[in-house]
Order: sequence, then structure tokens, then C-alpha cells
Amino acid sequence: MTTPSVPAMMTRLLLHPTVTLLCCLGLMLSSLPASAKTLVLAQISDRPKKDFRQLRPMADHIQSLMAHQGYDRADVELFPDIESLMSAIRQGRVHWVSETALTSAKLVQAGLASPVALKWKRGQAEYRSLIYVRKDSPVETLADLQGRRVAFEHPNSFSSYYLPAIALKQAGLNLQQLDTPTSSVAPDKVGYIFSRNERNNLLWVHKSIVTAGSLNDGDWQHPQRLPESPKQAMRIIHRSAAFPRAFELATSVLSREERQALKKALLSLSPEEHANLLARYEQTERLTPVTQEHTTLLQQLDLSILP
Amino acid sequence: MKVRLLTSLANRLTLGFTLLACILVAIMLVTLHHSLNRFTEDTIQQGKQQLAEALRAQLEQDAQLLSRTLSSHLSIPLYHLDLSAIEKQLSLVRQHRSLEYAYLFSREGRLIHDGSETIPEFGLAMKSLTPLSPEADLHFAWHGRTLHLLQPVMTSSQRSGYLALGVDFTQALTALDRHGEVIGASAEATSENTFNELFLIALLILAVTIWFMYRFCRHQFAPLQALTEKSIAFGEGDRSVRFGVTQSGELGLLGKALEQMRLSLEQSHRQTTQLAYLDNLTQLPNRHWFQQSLERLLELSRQNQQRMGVVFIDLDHFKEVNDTAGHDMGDLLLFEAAARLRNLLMEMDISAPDTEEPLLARLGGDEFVTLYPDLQHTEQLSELARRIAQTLDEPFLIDGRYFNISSSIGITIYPDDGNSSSEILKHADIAMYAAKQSGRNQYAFFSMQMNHQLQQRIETIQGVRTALDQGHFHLEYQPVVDLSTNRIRAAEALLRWNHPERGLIPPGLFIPVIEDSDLIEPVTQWVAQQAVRDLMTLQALKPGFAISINISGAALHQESTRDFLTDLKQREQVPDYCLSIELTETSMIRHLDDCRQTLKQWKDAGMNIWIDDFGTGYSSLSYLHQLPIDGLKIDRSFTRDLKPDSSNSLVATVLTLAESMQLQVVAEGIETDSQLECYRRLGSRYGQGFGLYRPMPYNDLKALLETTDEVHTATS
Repeated sequence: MTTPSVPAMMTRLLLHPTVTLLCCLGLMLSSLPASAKTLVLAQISDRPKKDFRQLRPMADHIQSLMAHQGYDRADVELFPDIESLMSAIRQGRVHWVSETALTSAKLVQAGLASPVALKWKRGQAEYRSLIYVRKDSPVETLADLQGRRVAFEHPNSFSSYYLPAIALKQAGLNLQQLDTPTSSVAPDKVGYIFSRNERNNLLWVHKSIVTAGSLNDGDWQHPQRLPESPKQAMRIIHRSAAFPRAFELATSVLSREERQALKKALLSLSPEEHANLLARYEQTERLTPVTQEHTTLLQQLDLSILP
Repeated sequence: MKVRLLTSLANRLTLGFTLLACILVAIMLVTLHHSLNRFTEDTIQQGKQQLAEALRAQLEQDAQLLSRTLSSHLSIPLYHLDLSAIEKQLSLVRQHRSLEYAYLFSREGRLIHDGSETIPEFGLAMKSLTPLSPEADLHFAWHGRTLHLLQPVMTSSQRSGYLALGVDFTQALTALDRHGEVIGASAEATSENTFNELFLIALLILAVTIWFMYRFCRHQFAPLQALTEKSIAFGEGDRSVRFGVTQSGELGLLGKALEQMRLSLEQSHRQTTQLAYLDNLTQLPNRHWFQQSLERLLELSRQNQQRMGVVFIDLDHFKEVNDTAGHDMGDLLLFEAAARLRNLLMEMDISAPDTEEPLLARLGGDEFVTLYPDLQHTEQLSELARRIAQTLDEPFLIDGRYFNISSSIGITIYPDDGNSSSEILKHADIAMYAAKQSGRNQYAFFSMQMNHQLQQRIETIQGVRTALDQGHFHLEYQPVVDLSTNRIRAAEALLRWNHPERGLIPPGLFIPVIEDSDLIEPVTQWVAQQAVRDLMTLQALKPGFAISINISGAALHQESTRDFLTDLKQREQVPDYCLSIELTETSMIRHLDDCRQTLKQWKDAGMNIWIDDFGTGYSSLSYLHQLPIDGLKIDRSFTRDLKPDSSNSLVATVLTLAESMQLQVVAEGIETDSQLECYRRLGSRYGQGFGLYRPMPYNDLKALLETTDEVHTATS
């Protein structure tokens, strides 16, 4: 609905009336009989157009599988931040969320959703967070980053915000959020700034705008996601442990049966039979059942360190 | 052809004008072509320039719009240093091939992004990448065909960076150039077409102008041309040409001048013609013209196989008129004679078949000639000759005096008497002489015999001259006897010609020839001198003896002869009444007044005047009375007719008349005694004849006078 050149911030601002309208529509629909129910799939997104396109076919498919539950239509709702998403869940407008571990943990810990499937997003069942500097950088360890700037990707990012921030804290460093990439940093802190995407993250480091950057290993290894030559000029100084890539969550809006139905529907998708459908669904390779470990991780993930 | 073209003044003028017009038109066309080309080039150049300027302005505007738009889009990404967003923006515009570069600089002028994936030149200074700088406050500049722009990127009214764009407008400008070339080519083609049209129009105008000029020149020079042609025609002999020109101005004057010249020339020509072809006195064609006409008519007759008569007229005794009455009278008589002949011919309707003019010419002197074309029979010519003779026989009344002349006419017929004009005319002349020889007042047709006679005559005349020079002439004397005493009283000198080859030539053969020629004077003088010389000798022998000499009519009227005789008598002191002059009646009567004068002079000088051959000529008793005549010599024809037993009344009457007029009488031609007896009986005092004495040489006469006592009888 807007040109691709419009910055994401503006897009988000423009999305507000739409979201409100959709919320109202959801309220209206929820009061309708079972025969006229809409299955709503939601996600936090700063790229609504792309994400909408990626989510829509899967929403339609799952709705068809859950028709017996009275869902005769499907819809995709995208929210700019966790707060609006949680609010929408609370209002009963969202039935199904597909998110990474951080958002999933927030929703689970808020009692708004429970995981129903592990999502092999971009072919990954799990991934790690990486912290890297330029090869010619004097920085060798995380501790060397004190008084320097680090670029994270996104405040909702698990792999490029939560995990590296945890790592830096665990290395005994204090974080300081910066307004701009060039803002100065207190000497006793590590300044951080969100690069919005992996490419900015790499280039900032490469152009020495920031000293270090943080990305997940999926993005790092993907050949087309990052330019090769800057990447070759980087040295990784930290790798986190592996974490689940993404989850499919049933919100508290769904009834128990409906949750089971959603879980069943999602897990019914075969990587071979529904390869196309899955590939379009954020390059998902397959959907696998959630293990106890996963559930525990989501429930116990320490969210306090986040601002 | 080329020479003929250029000889015409009109053509030369037209050609000159054509050349001039061509040169002028060529100069005009060259100038026009040059101006047109320059105009076209200037127009194209200006058009291209303006178009380029307009295009550049438009391009600048577009580029500025692009840079402004782009910079506004880059404002937030720059604030966030969102390199990927910036790359996206820049790479979007960099997709345009025309964009040479798109740089985003920081506020400090360091390169933030160049639209590439890895930004290899990140951090480079602005001045090393773009010719523009923010200090110069220059937003755009053209470098060649590249437009460089520097656009500040504003964030919250703060200058957060600069967007530098280099737009290569080569394509657009090349397209413009191509467009300009197309327009130029089109304009040049239009210019060329326009010039071609102008050229054709100029040629057309030139052609029309030249044509009009040609017509104008022709028109202007037409009178001159006409005059020229007339002059040429006139020069070639066309006498019908008139030079009158109706125009005024120089040509009119020229025409008038030529016309006057023509008239003068015509007049001069007429005069010359008259001089050359007309006889001044009678205004008749002269010999020259006549010969030409004759040749022409002979040719005509030859072609038409016709006969033609040539009539040669000679006036008899005209010389005497001239001699006695003077040349003025002679001229008047000739004029009158010509008029009569002309009238006669017109009356008889005899004219040249081609000119309808009477064919009468005066060949000179008293000679006229006329022609009778298309002759049917000879009688026509005889009739003509008779009429001519008749006409001329009428006495001429001139200046109160009557003159009687006659004519001798010779006639020839073509082709009988000759083929050439000269032959025909010569023969006519001969025939005329023949007629004259046969006694004048006659006409004669030519015969070949006449030719012979003429030859003889010519020989005779030639011979007379020789005889005078070489002394072949001599005198014989026939004594005149006193019939009563039988004594010789006188002698008549008779001219004798002893030709060295032909012997003695009879007087009848050469005397008439001499009389008709101009030899009469020297012969007469010779005879007179010889006779006087002989007379003076005889005077010593026999005082009172008389010798008579014959003076012909032709000599009688010559003043020279008259005076010669008078002078001779005085010089030789010839005794009075011893020298006698014998004249014929006819010679005296023809010019009575002159004759009286002459005779009176001679008589006064002491000479006797005798009338010879009395009774044969034109006789009038009055002249016997008027003239100082001493005696008569009765013609021998009377003597022949004497009959012894008849009254012989005619001779008796003459003797009686002479006696009554106190004239002496000599009876001539006495051959027999009976004749002598008759005269004695009738009372004639003197006698002469073979019966008495034959003519004898001087010596014989002298001897006779010495020895005889002059007693002689016819019977002895």
C-alpha cells in the first residue's frame, strides 16, 4: 500500500489506522456465530507487505483444515510491537502467532499463548547468535567492547538482541542504548544501537561506524543475505548456544479443542507434500512438535535484562 | 549561322542583355544561395542552441526534482544511517543508465553511500568524488554532458548530509543532436527546395525577360532591319524600294535620309542612264541601248521563231542643213524628225513586245533605226518604209524657215539577213547606203550584193585617199567650142583616176562616192589647185582662155571650199572670168540662201558661175533670176533628143530664155554633126561633146591650143 522506498518508521505510523480497523473487524466477527468465524494469524512486523504475503497462504490452508471448528475464513494481522500484539490477544482478536523465541517467551510468560509447533524457519530448527568485529579490530574478547559501540538488529530480535545482550551482560559489561550509530558511549559501558537489518549490521561494522555487530548464524551463513567481501573482513568473537528458531503459538483466545485442532493442523503438514506451502511460509522446512525443553526455555527465559 | 546571328544588331543587343541578365541573376542566385545557407545554418544553430538550452533547463529541473525527491526519501535513512535503505533508494535511481553516480555524503562531506552493496569508497571526501561542494553553494553544474547536482539532505530543518548526483545526459543530448541534425537536414532540404524553386522562378523570369527583350529589340530594330533589307534590295537593283519610315526619331530621320539618298541616286541614275542610253537631243534611246534592245528582241524572236524587221533611216541632205543653217537648226530638225518618227510608230502601233515602247533609236548624226517585231510579211516593212519616207518628206518648218529633206531607208530581216544584232544592223546600214546610192529618198531591202557594193565603196574611198597622196589623180580637159567660130573658148576640168592596179577607173564609180564622203573637200581643193595651175600656164599661151571646175552640192555649202576658191583665185592672180564654177541645179536649189551668198562671193571675186546639167534637176525660173549666174549648160539628154527635122522647141525655149536673161549657153553632149548643126541652127553659142573634142590630158590641150588655130568641125 506504500512504495517500497518509504521508510519502515513511516510505514508503521501509517499502519495504525489499518490495524485499528482490523481490530474492530475482529471484534465484530468474534461476536458472530461459529459459522462465521475468522482464523487470525498474527506476527510482529516492520515489513507488513512482505510478511503478509508470506503468511497468507498458510493461514488460508490451516483455516481450511480447521473449518470444522467453524473457521470459514482466515486473516493475517501484523503488529508493530509486542505491546499491540498482546493487547490484540487480550481482546481476543488473534488466534495464532508465528514468532521467534523472544516474542514467544514474552507471550508465554504473559500467559497469552502456548507453543504448538517448532517452526523450522529458513530451514533452521535452531540457531546461534554471533558477535563479530573487523579482522583488523583490536577487540579480541567481549570485554574489549567496553566503551565501544555494538550494533544489534532489532529490539524484537532473539538472536541479534536478546542473546548478544545476555552474552555481554554475562561478560560483565553494562549496556547503554544509543540514539544514533554515531552517538558517543560512556567509557564504562557498551553502547548499542539497532541496525534494523543484518545488512546494516555488517556494513556498520565494516565501515567502522560501530565496533561490533551481532547476527544469527543462519543469516551469516546464508550466501545471499550478506555481501561476501565485508563478511570476509570480519572476525567472530562470540558464538552463543543453539536456540529454537521459531514457534507456532496458539493464543489464549482459542479453546482447548481449537488449540488441539490448530496443533494437529500444523503438524499435519508434510515437508514433502506441502513443501511449496511451507517454503512460502517464511522458507519453513517443516513443522515439528514442541518438546518439553522448548516449553521450559520459553517459560524460563530471563526477560528482565531487556529494557 | 553563328556569324549571321551576331551580325544582327538586335540579336547582338539581345545577346548582350542576356549575358548581362544571366550574370546578374547568377550573382543574385549565388548571393541568395549563400544567404539562404547562412540563414538556414544560423536558424538551425540557434534552434539547436535554444533547444539544447531548453532541454538542459528541463533536464536540470528534472534532475533537481529527482535529487530533491531522493534527498527527502533519504532524510530518515540518513538519520538512522540505514545503509540498506539508503542503498535501496540509491540503487533504485542508479538503475537508470543515465545516472553516472549517486552519492550520499554526511554533513561533514564524507561519503556515506554510493548505492553499491559494499560501499567501497565509504568515508571518502566529497571533493574527490564530485566537482561540486557545499561551500560554493552551487546546486548543479554541467560538466560536458553530465549534470552534477548537490542537494542538501534535511532532517528536521537540519542539514544532515548531501546527496550528490551525476546525471549523464549524453543520450538525451545526443538525441537532441540527432534531432538537431534531422531538423538541420530537413531545414537544409527545405532551404535547398526553396532555393531550387527560387532558381526555377529566376530562370523563368530570366527567360521571360530575355524573350521580352528579344521581342522588344526586334520591335525596336524592325524598322532598321526593314531599312537594311530595303537597302540590300535597292543595292541589288530593286528599283521599287521606298525608304519611307512612319516612325519619328532617329529611325525616321534615317529613313528620310535614305529616301533622299535614294531619290538623289535615282535621279543620278536616270541622268547616267540618259547619258549612257539616251540621246541627249531627241531623248530617244541611243546606239548602246538600241543594241541591247536589239539583242534582247532577237533572242525573243529566236525563242518565238518570229521574224523581225530592222529599218535603218538616214536623213538625206541633213549635212547640208547643218552646213547652211547651222547646227542649232540641224538639231531642231533632228528633234522634229524624231518626233515625227515616234508619232508614226505609235500611230502604226509598232512597239517592243516586252516594253510596249516604240522602238526608235537615234544611232548618231542623222541616223535613226526602228524595229518591226513579229513580222508577218515583207510588205509590212515596205509599208513602214513608205510611211517613214512620206513623213520625213513633208517640209520642216523650223524657226520660220522651211527645210526639205528626204530619207534613205535600209531594211534587213531577221533571220534572213543575219543572226547577230551587229550583223543585222550592219546590213541595214548597208541597205540604207544602197538606197542612198540609188538616188536618195528611197528604201531598199538588204541583199548580199549590196555588201559587195559596199566593199567596193569602201575600197574606193580608201583608194581616193591613196590617190590624193600618191598623185594618181589627174585632170583631163574637155574643150568648149564657140560654135560660131569653131574656136576653143574654154575647157571643163574633169577628174581622172588612174589606179596603179585597176587602171583607169570610170568617173561614175568614184565621183558619187567622193561626193558622199568627207573626201569631197580635199578632192575639190586638189582639182581647183590643179586646174588653176594649168589655167595660168594656158593663160600665157592664150590669154582669156577659161577653165571650169565642177563643184558638187556637198562642197558648195562648205564655207571652207567657198573661201578656198576665192583665196586661190586671188593668190594665183587668176584673171577675171577665166575660172568658171559649174554647179548642178539641185545642189543650188536645196539651200538657196546659202548658195546665193556663196555664188555672190565667187562672182564678186571674178569667177563665172555656170549651171551644169541644166534641165534635169529641180528647176525654177526664179532662182535663175535671183542667182548671179553667167550661163547654162544644157544637159546632154536634151542633145540626145535633138531631132534634125523637128522644132526642138524645148531646147529652143531654153535658148530663148537664156538669151532673154542674158545668160550664155553651152550645149553639152554634142556627139554628131547633126546635133552640132541643130545647135548652130537654134542659135546656141557654145558646144561641148565627144563630137567636138573628147576630154584630153593637159599636155594634149596645150598642144592643141598651140598647134591649131582652133578650127574644128564635127566632121573633121
